[in-house]
Amino acid sequence: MIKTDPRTKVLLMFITVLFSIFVPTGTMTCLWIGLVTLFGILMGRVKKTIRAASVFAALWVFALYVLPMLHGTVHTSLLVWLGLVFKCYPCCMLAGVIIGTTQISEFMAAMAKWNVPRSIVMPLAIMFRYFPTLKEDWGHIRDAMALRGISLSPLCFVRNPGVVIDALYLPILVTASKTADELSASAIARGIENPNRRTSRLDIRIRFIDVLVLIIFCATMAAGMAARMGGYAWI
Amino acid sequence: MDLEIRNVSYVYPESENGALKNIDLKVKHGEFILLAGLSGCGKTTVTRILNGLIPGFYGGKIEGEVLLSGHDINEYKSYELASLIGSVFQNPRTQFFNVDTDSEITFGLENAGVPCGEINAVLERTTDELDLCNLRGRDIFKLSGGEKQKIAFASVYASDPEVYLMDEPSANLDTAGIDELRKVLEKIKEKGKTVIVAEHRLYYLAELVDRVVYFKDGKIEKEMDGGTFRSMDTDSLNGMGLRTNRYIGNAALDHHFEDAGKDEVSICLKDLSVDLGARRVLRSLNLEFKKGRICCVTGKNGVGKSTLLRTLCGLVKKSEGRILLDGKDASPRELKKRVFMVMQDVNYQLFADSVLNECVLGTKKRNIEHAEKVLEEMGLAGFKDRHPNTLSGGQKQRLAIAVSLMMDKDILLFDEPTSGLDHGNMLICAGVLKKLAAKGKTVIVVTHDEEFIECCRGDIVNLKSN
Repeated sequence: MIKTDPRTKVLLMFITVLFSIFVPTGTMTCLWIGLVTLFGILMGRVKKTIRAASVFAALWVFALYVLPMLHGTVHTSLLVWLGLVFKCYPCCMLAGVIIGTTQISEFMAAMAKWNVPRSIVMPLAIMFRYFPTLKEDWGHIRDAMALRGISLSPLCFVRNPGVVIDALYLPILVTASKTADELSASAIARGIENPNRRTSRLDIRIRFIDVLVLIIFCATMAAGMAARMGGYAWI
Repeated sequence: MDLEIRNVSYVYPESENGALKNIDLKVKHGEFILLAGLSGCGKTTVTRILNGLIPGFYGGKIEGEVLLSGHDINEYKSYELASLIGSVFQNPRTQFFNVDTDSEITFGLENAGVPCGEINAVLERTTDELDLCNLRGRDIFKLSGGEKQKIAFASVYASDPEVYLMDEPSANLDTAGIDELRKVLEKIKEKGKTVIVAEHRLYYLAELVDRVVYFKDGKIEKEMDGGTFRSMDTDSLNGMGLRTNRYIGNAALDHHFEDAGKDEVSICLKDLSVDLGARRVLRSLNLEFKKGRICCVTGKNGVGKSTLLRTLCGLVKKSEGRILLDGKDASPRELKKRVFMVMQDVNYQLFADSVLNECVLGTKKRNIEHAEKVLEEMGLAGFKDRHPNTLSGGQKQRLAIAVSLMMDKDILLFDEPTSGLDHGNMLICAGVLKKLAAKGKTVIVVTHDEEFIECCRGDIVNLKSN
């Protein structure tokens, strides 16, 4: 089990985005997913990371062995779709690991150390905070719809698209704006506007492990680029 | 720190509700003040003026002067006020900035830039003094309402302000939770802190208050000292629109109000067990609910009351046992057809663009006449063209009931219908429930509110943990 600085995680995200841009999909993608999986497990997010990795593996096997057997439109559209999925997968998976293992206060304090302005950090922090709220709201709204005989099934949607959309978006909108208001009021009343540099109850520092993780990711990236330039087409 | 409000008037930019007219109020250091009055009387507005959210956050124009220790409140920045005045808000769900309890408790200290070591020392001390060690390092979204409110209080306590402001802190608490809240308030009173509470439920504060300030239509109508307040009887309090200042024990309520032997059973649970994930929430439950009666289900936070309601609606599948509707086994599908639930937060349930449309939406025949009759019955006839969102809490609740009547549902469930309602609205709510029962509906209410249970005069089921 390891613990890394939020700043390291932001850098990892940055490196992974570069990876997706510059390294074409191939064996390197699998290697990168393996790296992210290892990182996720070491960070203590075991189940969800393994699940995400298995989904990737299944799609990969599908692309290698089943896809060539298909023809026509199905083949083309699946090919395009899978290409897109494989491009985004490393970034999305790493984002999942990062969001799942970073506390909001820790993130805000680390960004303060980098002197990132509050106008950038605050909206990000509130976004982190909003996801679980949305999940909770979603459950309530689904219940409320079921009580009125409205379900999210495609059949119900085709019959009554207007009602389904109203029943979804109005409650989400109303509760979201109420939540946002009350949340901001509470944050202000508790001194979030203080211009002093934010601290954290957690000791946030770049440690040896952070450097090690960064080196491993960078080295893998460099190896991928070098192999490509060296003309190893199989990579 | 002394507080003084001098001839203050205020109107919200977009609403008439909660406006203040020529308020004068002096609070001495160490006083315990209760702000009482009907919903919309302006008591919450006073707390917002004192913590600077008015005009800083809510806008609007404020006239008059507010002084903290003799200095104008405008001279303080929002974060300076935050360190002097701690606020606990009504809804514990939306006052958290963090997702884990430890960070939430230390949030104020982190904002103020207190060094890491000191923050952790304060965290230890706070959780020790407030007896919260079992809530350390937990996911806030998995806490009960009472536990959330405790964390909200702890986060204010950790910053050690001179003044504690609270807006309906008991709204989501059960009897045990309220009792713990009272103990904590006792503790800060002993420490010599100033406490200002705006609240509808008064009984738990009766022994603590030094002064009660009664608001009516944005004015201070009456001020009385603690002794006078304690000596008032329930009738004269109710006459002012206030709730009782005495505790109505569960013991006094723990009986059936009248013999109900002859009534027909509409829903019957036999050895019902329900699992949520791997956890068995309800175990071998045997209950009967009768037509034309109100049944109040009580029990501690986390005992499975909400799960029971959701199972009865057909939203959760039972694991074992039987649910009989009129003597026949019922599937979740059949339950969904016959049962309706008014949720604790009705905002989730309303989504049409007008009150009338809300009623006819989803009904097979768009029967406007019938809808108008139902709305009149619920006292909403004058509001049929209003947007549901502009209604008050009590009115929204009645609109949801109207919807259930339009759908011909005959078993109606209520989840904490009186949280945040003042005495008048609580009586209206009890009246509506009785009316529904008189129409032959089966009414099942989950509530912590003993005063409300007494008003309903229904059967009482006390759910115990398995």
